[in-house]
Amino acid sequence: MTDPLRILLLGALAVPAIGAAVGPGRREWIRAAALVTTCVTLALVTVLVICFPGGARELAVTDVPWFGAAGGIDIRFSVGLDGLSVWLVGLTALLMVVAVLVSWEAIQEQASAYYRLLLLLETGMLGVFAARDIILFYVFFEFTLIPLFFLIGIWGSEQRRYAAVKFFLFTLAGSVLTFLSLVAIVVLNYEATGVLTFSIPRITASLAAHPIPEAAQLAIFLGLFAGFAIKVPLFPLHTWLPLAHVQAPTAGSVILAGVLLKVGTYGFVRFSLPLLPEATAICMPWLLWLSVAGIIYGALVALAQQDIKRLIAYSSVSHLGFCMLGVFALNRLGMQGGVLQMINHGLSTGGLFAMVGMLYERYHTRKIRDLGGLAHRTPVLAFFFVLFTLSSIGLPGLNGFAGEFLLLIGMFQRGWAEAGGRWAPHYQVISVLALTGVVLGAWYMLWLVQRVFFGPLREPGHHEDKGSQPEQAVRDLAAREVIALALPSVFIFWIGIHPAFFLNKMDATLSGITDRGMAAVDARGMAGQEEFPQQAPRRSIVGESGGEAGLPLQTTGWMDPSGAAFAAAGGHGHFGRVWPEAPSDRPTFLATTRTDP
Amino acid sequence: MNAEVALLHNYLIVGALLFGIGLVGFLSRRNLIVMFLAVEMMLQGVSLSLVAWGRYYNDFGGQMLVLFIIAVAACEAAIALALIVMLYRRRNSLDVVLWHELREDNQPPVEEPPLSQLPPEAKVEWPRLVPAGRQPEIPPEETDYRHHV
Amino acid sequence: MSAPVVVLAPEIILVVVAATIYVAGAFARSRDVWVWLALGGFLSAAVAMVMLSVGAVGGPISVDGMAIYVRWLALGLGALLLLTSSRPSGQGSTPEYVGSLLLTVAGVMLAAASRELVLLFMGLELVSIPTYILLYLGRRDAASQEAATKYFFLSILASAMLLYGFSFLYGATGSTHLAVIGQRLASPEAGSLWLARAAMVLVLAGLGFKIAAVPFHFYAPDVYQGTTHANAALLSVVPKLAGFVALVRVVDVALEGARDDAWPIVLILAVATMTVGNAMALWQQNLRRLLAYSSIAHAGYMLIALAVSMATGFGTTTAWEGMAALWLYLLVYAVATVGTFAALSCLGRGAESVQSVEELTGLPWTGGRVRPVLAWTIGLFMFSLAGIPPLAGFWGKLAVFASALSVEGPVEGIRGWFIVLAVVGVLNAAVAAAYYLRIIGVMFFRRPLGVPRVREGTGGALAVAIFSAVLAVAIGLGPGIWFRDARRAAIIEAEAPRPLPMAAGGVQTADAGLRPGGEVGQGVGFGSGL
Repeated sequence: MTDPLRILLLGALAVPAIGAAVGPGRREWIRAAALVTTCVTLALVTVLVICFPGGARELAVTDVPWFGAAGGIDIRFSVGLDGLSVWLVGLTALLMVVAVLVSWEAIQEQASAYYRLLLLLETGMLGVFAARDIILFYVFFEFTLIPLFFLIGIWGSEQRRYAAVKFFLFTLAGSVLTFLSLVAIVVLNYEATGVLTFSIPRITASLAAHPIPEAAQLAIFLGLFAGFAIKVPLFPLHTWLPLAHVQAPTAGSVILAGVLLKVGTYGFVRFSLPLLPEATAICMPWLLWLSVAGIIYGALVALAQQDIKRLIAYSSVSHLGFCMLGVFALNRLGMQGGVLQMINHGLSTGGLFAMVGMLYERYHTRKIRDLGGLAHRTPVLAFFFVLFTLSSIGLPGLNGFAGEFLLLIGMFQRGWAEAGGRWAPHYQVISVLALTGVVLGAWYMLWLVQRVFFGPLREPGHHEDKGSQPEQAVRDLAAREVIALALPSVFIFWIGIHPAFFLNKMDATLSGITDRGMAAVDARGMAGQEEFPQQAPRRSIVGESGGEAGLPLQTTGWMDPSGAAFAAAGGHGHFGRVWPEAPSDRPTFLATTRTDP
Repeated sequence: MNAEVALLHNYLIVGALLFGIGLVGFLSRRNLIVMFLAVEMMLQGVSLSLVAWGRYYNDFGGQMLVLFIIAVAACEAAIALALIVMLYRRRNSLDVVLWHELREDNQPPVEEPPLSQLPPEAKVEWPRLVPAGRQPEIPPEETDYRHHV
Repeated sequence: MSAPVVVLAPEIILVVVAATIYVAGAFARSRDVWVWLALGGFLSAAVAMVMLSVGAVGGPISVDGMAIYVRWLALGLGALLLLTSSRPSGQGSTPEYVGSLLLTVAGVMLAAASRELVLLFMGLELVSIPTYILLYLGRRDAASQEAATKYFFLSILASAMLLYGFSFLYGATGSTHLAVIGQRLASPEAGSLWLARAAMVLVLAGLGFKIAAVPFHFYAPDVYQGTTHANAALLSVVPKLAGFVALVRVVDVALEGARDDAWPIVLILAVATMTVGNAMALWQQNLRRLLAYSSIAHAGYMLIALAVSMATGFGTTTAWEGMAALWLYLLVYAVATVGTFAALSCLGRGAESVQSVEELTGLPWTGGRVRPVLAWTIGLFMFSLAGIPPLAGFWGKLAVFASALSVEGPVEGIRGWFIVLAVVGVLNAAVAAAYYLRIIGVMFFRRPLGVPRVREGTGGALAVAIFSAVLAVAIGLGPGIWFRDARRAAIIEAEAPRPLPMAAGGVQTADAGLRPGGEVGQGVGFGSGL
């Protein structure tokens, strides 16, 4: 339907792969080629993002048989963008430019292989988010392991071999079960409907009509959970993450934190919620507890860290806990906040990791106690570090606030305003604990900034140039590094100041995904509710019917200035609106592909 | 139940006994040649059963299989003897326990008590075949009693 | 008389070429001549395969989908193995080596096409006997001789068991034709299946040795370690191919009547084989030993597919899927394994080829043009064997596990068993990745310790390694046609032969073919009384 965009998306997938295939051998050339490749990809993706109309329709869909009729199995090469994936694709393309820029001087050995693997990784990550076929998704999902395995193992720091193998095996051990679950979904769908299809939208639609039995859903959910929760990583499964982050080269950390962790949350949003709503509803309290445990645990461990990179790695555990919390609050606000927070975390933590790499290039240390007062030496770096830190802790006006605010509102709504049955007290405790996590997050990040960038100047004895004197000033950021940091900074401000631009485009898709989960939760909530028949099944604390539940929020206008007009134009699920009453009004994933607004 | 079936019974029992004795022999003996003969005995047990069944069904299939088994067994015997001669040359013994070079890392070889047997004979120079197409060297003393070489 | 013999033309060509090489090899010791002649033999056999698109013959030979697939696979693998063994012994026994290789391939092809116990037995022995010679010719040190001896003795023991199983099959039904056996066992008059069960166990034991299934796997690590890379490549694919073809023909199709007893056994074998193979491989330092355990583990995955096709009953869709998965898996496994061994056989220290994993340390960074290529191809094969997409191995695993998940048989609870099997299978795949990654880690993540030499005269092996790598990627990116071929391979001719007018002159007498079931029942009744 939209041919030029289709070519753009295919181009964005193909350009990095071509770059990897034909990249030249010398370091100076290959890095330039990699920069050009990633910039071209970013340009293509930018056009796609700008052209994405919002609403529930999918964009740039390419759907061709991969196996061919000969294969007998209808596995298709099917890619496209919807309101969820478009932002993650954008984030990937953006961070890849950053990754190439921060590798510019850091990678001296085997540069050709390095940049080729980096570009292959980009194709893999873009493919994960763009895939509309279950098997294609899994192919890209697993394929991303290979380049990153090499990136960590060859160009990492001292413990790189152990870190690479642990990363790979941990992820693989989970994802093989995910694989089994994905196949099981296809098989069960086939048995229910007689149609053997691997297409995610088609399965989503047909499972809405023929849901999988609950016991099977639960088993499948646990299988999916094994892979995605390790990838996220959810609290008890996070042990690979700090190691991999610390040992990876800077670009590897940026991509790992910025994009690959999102693959886990993306998997939950894309598969667990719409395909297994009942199982999701059953597991929701447990997942919320795990998320909040991750938030608190990650924050506390981060407080105790001596190594900047380790600290930020543990802050990732905490922040991903927030994302999961939002997603599994299973209402629209939480979901929007969770997804927005995925992007925010990619921008801010990716930037922080990039700056840790820059610090390391200058001082060859990441120990907090070796550094101090660097704001005098490197004011520009300090400026960006403070900016990204503030973004990370959720200062109003920056992106972190928009995401955390939304998802916390969603969680509070889950706790107080919606039917929780016997779990309602749990949800309330979780909400409050999550708030504590925000405070802890501010504590460890600001303390880090204070120790490293303010106070008396403290530098390690040796600099990057061995012969120089300790008092000789290190260089502040070069133009290349400023550009690398300015790119995400733009979006940090943009999302902070005008989140509605982003929310509007993802809203319809997310509502379609959330609605089934909400219905399932309601069904369970009602089932456990018989002793409180007088309680309303669901209330929104945000501006529903004149604020029946209290708390009519004026901020909705800030989040979406054009809300009224948008709603009047037939758009669904602006979060300040009452949900549509009739289920048929709710756009399902499939319907979104067919309706023309 | 008639004489035919009784006959079949007898043959099958003998066949099974041969197979079983051969199996036990293979698993318990340490002499390479005896081990090989034990397997041959298993094959004879199989052959006997097949022939008995073939007679019972009045069908040639079993006997055909037996003919092929005999041919293959002959083939295997040739290879076995070549292999055993080769092994004997290296270790000067037919004891299978001496061959334990290939095993798991860091695992000791299985120790078996030595066989109580005759003392090892002195190393003998065995005759060797020359490659085809070459004139063999004939020791002069052989011409004394082998006039045609 | 004419039709069956013509159908065997490819096998006959191979045997004739092999015999020629054996005889003429005494007069010309030049290596290249015989390799080229053997390649010519493979080529003419392939031409014969193309020209002979004969349909079902109905007699003891069948050219159904499986036979065609396996014969092509055997021809292709034979050519690859021939090039891999480009330096067979260094002691002038090239003609013997090449001839034996041709005979082995002919044996696999014969076994694939046979629907009759005598012919099947001949095919399997035609695989085994030349293999003994190949093992002996590979190298001439004590380890090699020990390997050859171990393989020989255990192999003839396995043959004896297999034959005893055949004799029970014959005893239960009075026919050596597999289709007739299947028909009579499935007929209601068959009564007790006691003899058939005994036959199944013995056949599984005998063929389990060929495919290196636990607990018949003990020879594999020792033999692989003791022999050359080229021989190890041969051992890891050719007997497996023959063994699985025979398993399908005998246990899956002919013994269908006993399948309710068969599939649990195969399922347990599959779990044990995967788990033992993968667990033992984690500890190995010797490359060939490690790959031996890896090949044991892969036999376990293939047994999953076999169990699927048994459990659901011959002729159902799921059984068909399982069979297709088996053949696809065997193909992708064979490509990666042969490629790995070919790449390894290019490397050596002095005259010896590489032995331990440590010798590959830092291989891609040792400079030169060939070594980095070898390192990247080995890395690619390791990922393929580990089943990481988008390489070929992934599609094999996808097919196997998808078929296991779609089992839905008449027996209550059968689905649960296969779900457990699939879960064990994927967890095993994750464990397996650990040792494949160790090889990759040793190669890529360390500084070179010393530079392994690229051995002389291994151009053929290098070509095989590169070709296999390209194939592994090609199958990975475009799996459609390979799935199609594997599905065609799952087409198995199982009907009993038509009463042929010329049967009287053949092996089978018309009398035996038309014998009514009553007497058969009598025979089986005897068996249950024993």
